[in-house]
Amino acid sequence: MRTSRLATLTAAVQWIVGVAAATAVVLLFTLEGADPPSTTSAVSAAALADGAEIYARQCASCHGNIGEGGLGPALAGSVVARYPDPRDQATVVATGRLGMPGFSSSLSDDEIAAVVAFTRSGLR
Amino acid sequence: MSRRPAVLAVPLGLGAVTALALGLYSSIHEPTGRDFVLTGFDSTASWKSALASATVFLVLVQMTLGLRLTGRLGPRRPPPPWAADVHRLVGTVAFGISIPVVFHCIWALGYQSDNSRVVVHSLFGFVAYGLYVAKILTARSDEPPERSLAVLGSLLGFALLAAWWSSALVFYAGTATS
Repeated sequence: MRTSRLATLTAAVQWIVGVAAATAVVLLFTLEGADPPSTTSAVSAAALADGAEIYARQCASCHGNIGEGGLGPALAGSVVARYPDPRDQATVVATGRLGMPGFSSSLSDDEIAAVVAFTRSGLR
Repeated sequence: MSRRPAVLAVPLGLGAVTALALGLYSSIHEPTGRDFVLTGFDSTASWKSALASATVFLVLVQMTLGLRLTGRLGPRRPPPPWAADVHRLVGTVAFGISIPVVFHCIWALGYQSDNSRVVVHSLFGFVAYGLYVAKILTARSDEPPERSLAVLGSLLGFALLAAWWSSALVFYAGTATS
């Protein structure tokens, strides 16, 4: 009796997971990402220059001098797609991700915003 | 009764098609870069790492049950009657909770070849899903060749472990050191 209930439960879970898998496949072809918001229009040239300097000092050793990648992933041309909302990218810079250390203790919020802006518009 | 290796042709073929389809989609699909943050987690990477870790744990449980079912582990007496159903249930749940993880990987991030870790992670992920399809179809075929399920299950476990090692474990290591 207990085994029969277990078999019924297993069959029900298999059915649910099968529907979930089929739904995921459909969503792969139908679900579109939001358009990346414009992020650089309100950033001043001075902030971008600061961002470039910070990038060269703190980021280039892993992400490459022109964002071509190295120990860390490439940023040039791909970081906006990866982080449509610059706040998400700023969070990664501040707290770290995967093997990347966080910079919240060494960079101010303005400095993080500057380097984020630079990677999104200055690395092409 | 001979168990023809030919019965593996369809499962292995469809498994290969699955792995290639995932790789092809990931390569040609424009990554959306969207993050999903689930309640209780502070980032996409954290919930993906948690679900991936749970998947690997359940797969290890399932492999242990598989060894017990085939008499390679535990006492000599037959396995308990519930073991086969629990084996299937655990495997199904493991696959189910991996769906949001792989969905985000290939829909939001796609295949990236600029980092060797990501390449390793992607390839083992594609192979793992191909092996999963092959194993399920083999299990449902008539009289699969002896040890075919054990071999496919072991390869699947290894592929998942490698995919987890190259993503979630790196995430936890980075979190611990940052």
